[in-house]
Amino acid sequence: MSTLSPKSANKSTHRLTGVDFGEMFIAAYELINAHINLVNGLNVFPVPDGDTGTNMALTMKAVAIAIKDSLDSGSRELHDISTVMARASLMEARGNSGVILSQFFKGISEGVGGKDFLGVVDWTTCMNKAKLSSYSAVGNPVEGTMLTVISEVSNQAQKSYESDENLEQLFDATCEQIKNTVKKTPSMLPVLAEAGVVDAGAYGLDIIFEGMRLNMKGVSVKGVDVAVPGMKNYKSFSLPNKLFLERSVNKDYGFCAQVLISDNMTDIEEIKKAVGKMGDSVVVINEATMLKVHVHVASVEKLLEYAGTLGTIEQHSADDMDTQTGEFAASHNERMEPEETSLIVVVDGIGISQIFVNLGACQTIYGGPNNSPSVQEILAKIELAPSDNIIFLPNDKNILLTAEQAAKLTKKTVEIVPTETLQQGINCALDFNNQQELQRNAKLMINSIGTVKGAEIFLAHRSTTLDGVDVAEGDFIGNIDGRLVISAPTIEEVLCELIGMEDNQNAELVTLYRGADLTEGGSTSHYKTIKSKFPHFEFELINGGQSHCIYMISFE
Amino acid sequence: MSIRIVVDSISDIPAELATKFDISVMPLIVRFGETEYKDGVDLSSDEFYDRIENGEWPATSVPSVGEFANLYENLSVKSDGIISIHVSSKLSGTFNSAVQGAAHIDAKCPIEVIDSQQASMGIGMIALVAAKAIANGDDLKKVVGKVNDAVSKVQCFALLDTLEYLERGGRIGKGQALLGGLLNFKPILQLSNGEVFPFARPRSRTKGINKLLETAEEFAPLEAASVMYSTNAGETTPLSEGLTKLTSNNNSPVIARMGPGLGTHAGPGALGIALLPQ
Repeated sequence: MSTLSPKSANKSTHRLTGVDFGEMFIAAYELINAHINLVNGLNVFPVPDGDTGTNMALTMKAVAIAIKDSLDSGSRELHDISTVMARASLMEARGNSGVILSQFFKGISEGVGGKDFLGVVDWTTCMNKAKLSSYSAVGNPVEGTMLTVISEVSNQAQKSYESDENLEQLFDATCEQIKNTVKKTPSMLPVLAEAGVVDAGAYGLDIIFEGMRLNMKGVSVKGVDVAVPGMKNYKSFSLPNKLFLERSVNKDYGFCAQVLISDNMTDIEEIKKAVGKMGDSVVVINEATMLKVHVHVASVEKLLEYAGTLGTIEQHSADDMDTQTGEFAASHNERMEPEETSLIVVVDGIGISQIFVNLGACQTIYGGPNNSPSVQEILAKIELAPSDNIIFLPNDKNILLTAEQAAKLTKKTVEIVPTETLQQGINCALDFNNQQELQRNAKLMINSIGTVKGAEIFLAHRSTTLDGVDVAEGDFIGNIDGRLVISAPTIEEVLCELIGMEDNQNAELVTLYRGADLTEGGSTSHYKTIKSKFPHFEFELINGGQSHCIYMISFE
Repeated sequence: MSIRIVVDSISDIPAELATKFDISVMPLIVRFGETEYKDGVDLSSDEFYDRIENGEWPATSVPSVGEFANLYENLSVKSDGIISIHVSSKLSGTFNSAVQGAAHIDAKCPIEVIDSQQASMGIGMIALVAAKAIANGDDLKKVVGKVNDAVSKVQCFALLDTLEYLERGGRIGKGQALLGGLLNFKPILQLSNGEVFPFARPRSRTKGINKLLETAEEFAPLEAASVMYSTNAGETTPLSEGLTKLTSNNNSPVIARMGPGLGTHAGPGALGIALLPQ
């Protein structure tokens, strides 16, 4: 995202242009992106799954990219910028915090309306609307959270407007007010006091506003450290609180479910009430023609059944937040036999999960790029494993830290084999033997990490130039070992280009893992093409079912 | 008069070495349908692998007690003692037949029947230890001592091209579940405590051959080594070169072909190593 870095120039303290305003949010994204782990570590409410920072940063990233794209394409007016921010944040909203953030942007967009400049009075309107839409989106508003911060921001805007302050004074006062509010969150929400933390989402908003304020003053956010208000020892604080986590492992959280429904005619308040009876953390949003429902429930079936009565279900997802549910946990419990060492892996896709189970994994955790499992989730799987000696494969760089945290919280001995891709993980798991002792398994598996080369094929969601490759939106792009090497209009072209690369010619076996978005027929036709085009390789096609890419490829 | 060595055909000991050390090889029975062959006697390895690659399914059966009794009877007349070394009793009834055969005759000399807990050149290497001890002038008790020591030391690993043959024959112990699944790989099996266990799951033959060599390194320095193959003689070269470097005095390993008896379970495309660590 370094290419997005806004110019740090003093902005007018009386009125902001679309470009000024957009740059402030790009800076806000960069600042929260640098604080992801700190925010994640504070995350104990509503579910202590340590993803608030990730969710807020990903939502802000979508906003930052949308602003950049809009500026690049010549749409630089304030109303253009605020419209794309609202749309991007809603489309990419992740988790509770992301959804509330999207309502904040919705409020801004409504407040800006058709205006070309933003002054104190306009900002006051924006924040008032942001407050209304945030509170109304959440089924059961709880104070001591992001909502309280947004409410305080709105109050402060009103005060600044009444005392005739300029924008700089307004943002200074707002940031101070936010820090005071964040400090007070434990007294408003007992669960925070119990865990000894302030609210993660509230602190996330503090960072976002700090980024906006600094950018407005012409100060770069690079290297800026936003202290956690009310937590002097935040840097040495062992996050998250161990006792709290231990207790939460035994609590029943059910599923984090999201449903997108079209053609809904039912009143939103009625839906909120009905969904509220099924579970908590209810968020219901109506945007244009779509209804989005987010809720933590014990039974997804019940929710889907109800959603089906409202309209057409366009999309739904359910992440298992529990320790013992889920089809894999169930299937593992059945076949558990005494083992010297247990293998736990992070996977993406049902086929990939099945492969790891076949190779001897006792537990699989769904996760991966942009979808990190929490410390608590990992810890729960460790506790469930039949052996006290655990090998853990994160299969993603970003999961390593979370895994290390989890390893510290258990009495079991955990060896983390630092795999960065699923291809590496599968390669290492081939060396796993559950009857073999821990250290020998770990040694063999660590030695295997580097012996496989991985490639992925993705759909390009926007036009850009990356690693020297020009990418057009809707193109397919190919990565090798994380580096973009090819962009082409068809999957087949990218596939052939990747396989034909000189670096790969000493490989013997090429394995293609078909992603969830590709049909069996499509991949069979690709398979036939590459088999006849590259007769010197041995090919294998496997239904991986992964969601993060169209094809995952390994060369060995 | 001397001490004589007996092995069974699962030892895969090359004919020239058997002749050189006067080792008697008791053939197992290999069957294609109704037709029975004596392993390595009236069925050559070439013919055997041709037939299974053309889709015929073989099976093995153990030598009879009577055959062992006859062999021991004939040998005992001209020997000071017999040491009879056989395929793991957990994999074959051959050892039992040998024990029964020895018990059923009025032998003219002592007979020691040994469960090698091994197969293929794992047995062959132990037999060669016995031959060396005999050449050294050791008495039967000493020879048996050295053989038992070798039994506890010898390591045997095999890289299979397919598990089909092993599974059909039911010769795989615990951990078979680790060898199934969506992903194809070339299983490496270890003979340990007389049983076959999954050892590693390389995804290609090259990786498999490297894995065999890496494994051998862990047991180096070696007193002696052997490389076995069923159909791919060419692939023994890298293994042979690698093992030579790990063996004291840089002795080349014995190259042995897996005969029809062992091939019934290992199938075509199998490679193996047998190691005698110092």
